[in-house]
Amino acid sequence: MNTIIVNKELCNGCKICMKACFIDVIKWDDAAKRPLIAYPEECVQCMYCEINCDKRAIKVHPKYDSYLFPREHLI
Amino acid sequence: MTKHMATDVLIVGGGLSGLATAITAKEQDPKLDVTIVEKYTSGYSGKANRGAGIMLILGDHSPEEFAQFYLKHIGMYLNNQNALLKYAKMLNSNADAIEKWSGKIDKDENGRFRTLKWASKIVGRGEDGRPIFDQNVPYPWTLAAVDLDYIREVRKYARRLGVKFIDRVGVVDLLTDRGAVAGVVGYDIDNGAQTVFGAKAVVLACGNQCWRIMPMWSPARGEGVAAAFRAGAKFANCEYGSFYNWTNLDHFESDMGVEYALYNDKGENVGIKHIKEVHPDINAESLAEWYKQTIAGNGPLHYRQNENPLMPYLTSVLASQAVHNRPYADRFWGYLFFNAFSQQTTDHVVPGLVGEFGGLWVDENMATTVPGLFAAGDICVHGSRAWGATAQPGRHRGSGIAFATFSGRVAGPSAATYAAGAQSLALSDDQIAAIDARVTAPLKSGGSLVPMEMVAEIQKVMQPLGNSLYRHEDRMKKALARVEELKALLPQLKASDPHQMFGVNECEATLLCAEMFFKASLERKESLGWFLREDYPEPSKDGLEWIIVENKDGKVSVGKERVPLETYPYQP
Ligand SMILES: Cc1cc2nc3c(=O)[nH]c(=O)nc-3n(C[C@H](O)[C@H](O)[C@H](O)COP(=O)(O)OP(=O)(O)OC[C@H]3O[C@@H](n4cnc5c(N)ncnc54)[C@H](O)[C@@H]3O)c2cc1C
Ligand code: SF4
Ligand code: SF4
Repeated sequence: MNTIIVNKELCNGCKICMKACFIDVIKWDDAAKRPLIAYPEECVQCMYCEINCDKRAIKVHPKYDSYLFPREHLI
Repeated sequence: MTKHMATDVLIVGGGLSGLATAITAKEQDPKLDVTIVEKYTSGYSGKANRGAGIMLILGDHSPEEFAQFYLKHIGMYLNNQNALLKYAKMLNSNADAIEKWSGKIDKDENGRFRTLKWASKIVGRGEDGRPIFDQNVPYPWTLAAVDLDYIREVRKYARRLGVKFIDRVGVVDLLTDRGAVAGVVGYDIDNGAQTVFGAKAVVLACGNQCWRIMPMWSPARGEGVAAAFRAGAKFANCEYGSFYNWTNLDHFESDMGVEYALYNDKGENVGIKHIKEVHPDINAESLAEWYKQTIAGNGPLHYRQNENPLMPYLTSVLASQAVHNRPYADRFWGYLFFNAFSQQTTDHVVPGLVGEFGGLWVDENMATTVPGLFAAGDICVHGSRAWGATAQPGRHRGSGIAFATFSGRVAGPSAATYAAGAQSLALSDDQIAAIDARVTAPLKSGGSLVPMEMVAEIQKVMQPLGNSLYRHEDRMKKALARVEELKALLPQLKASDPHQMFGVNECEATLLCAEMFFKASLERKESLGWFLREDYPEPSKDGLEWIIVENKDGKVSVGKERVPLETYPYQP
């Protein structure tokens, strides 16, 4: 599973990372006013959340080994 | 609690094609209420801002020259030639439109779009160290480049025109009144609240089906395809929805031009024999060769990148300032390449199923067979039949942006004209209740399966080359039987929140697409263009036919239609 970490100190709660995700991996924690990495197992390492965070408060570390792909079913 | 909203033109999906539709509908008739309903956040969502951003234009070539080349080398005359010519004629103005909406197409010092033809070779270096290219390639088109933050600018442009946006609401079904479209039903992806929209015209611009296998194609989950099917729409060319691209299992980034440099484990180049004199892009035969070599025990297959003649083009355009000035794209590709290549351990190459299954039938005005329902973009690439016997991107890269822009610019005015002359139709409470029961059932289900487990099972049926590319009746029948088994498991899927509720809707849609794909594939008893069958290796002698899929009493029904070649300008 990819690791997505948010630096909650640097984060200013702008919600851009949540908007930037094109498959709903990132939800919003209304109480904390911070992103909630709700479905990291579905992340496809497009890096859009990270690239779009002006505060550099979110980082994605891809782990391709665990990416859901039918490796044994190619033929 | 259900929210009710009404609009004149409702567009499902706020990617490039949806935005192009909204802008052109509003420009044609500013009095109309035009609303985009987007599952995630328009401006960021969709595929266009995560691609290479290369955009096909004609440059100095004529539409007729393009069409003739295309029919002969790519479409194999399985095209609707009227649609192909209309597409060709709008290729150059597509770029003008995107530039007007976003200001993000790269230009030279004279203000002209900077272009570079596919597969150009580097022949020298200028004083500034930048490469000089020989652009003498046999393809009658060229490629412009757009920076990858353009979709947000296009959204802003649409907003300034008065287009309304409803983000984070996913549409699950269409509402109809005596066969004509009356509106849509959607759910908030965060809190699950239902919204019922009445609309005089609806445009499906919500992407195609990519089987959730290759990472960057993940958002294309076929919900629009399934909604259109349930509403009674017709489909064509579904059997062409299996594009594969070369990839490396270490990181799943796509490689282009591998067929030039594809070696088996004995060290033999096994790709090059499939490259004809004119080779606009990857062909199905070289992918099938991967399958044959692997079955013969000659795998794994290797990719010797230094022998790929496309590399000068690719490395000059992606993550590089060598040709284009695209700061955002450079950053984006820089990240992707860094991640990928820092974790690549082998030169083993495999075909990854991209899919691009978009068979929603549309006429040349982007109208579907359901009155009031139009389509734009990936969802109807195959169904438009403009590209003929090929999988998207149709062996001409840069065509996804081109088709999305073209079809949006046609669908917008068509839908606006329709809406201006239409009445609001009745919204059926029974239909709404039935949709709600279907979609929310997994929230109440006592089932044991979660959507990602089902996704994994569907992948195993779709990815194998023997099922989806180099096809055979026996293998396809087995695959179809497995699809039926998986369909029977749908009631066991459970959801604990709206995200998973959508996950179930997506799985249901994907299985329907798989059924359409295999049933249409079984019906085409020949090999033609991208469509290959081991048991029917030659083109049929019965002439050119489109395979049609329709909804007969809720069941997938398959038929054929003759391509009316005699009415078209060009003959084989
Ligand atoms: C990695 C990659 C690289 C590419 N590179 C290029 C390239 O260099 N050049 C090129 O020409 N083409 C390229 N393409 C193809 C091109 O990006 C697409 O063809 C084009 O963007 C399709 O636009 P669209 O609007 O039809 O679909 P999409 O971009 O898929 O947009 C569909 C929208 O509908 C939304 N949606 C989906 N379901 C629902 C629902 N149920 N309710 C509401 N909204 C919904 C989605 O969130 C999305 O915003 C690439 C694609 C990918 C993935
Ligand atoms: S984009 Fe960055 S600053 Fe904004 S909410 Fe996300 S992590 Fe925080
Ligand atoms: S990398 Fe892409 S898919 Fe993953 S969380 Fe970020 S935006 Fe979403």
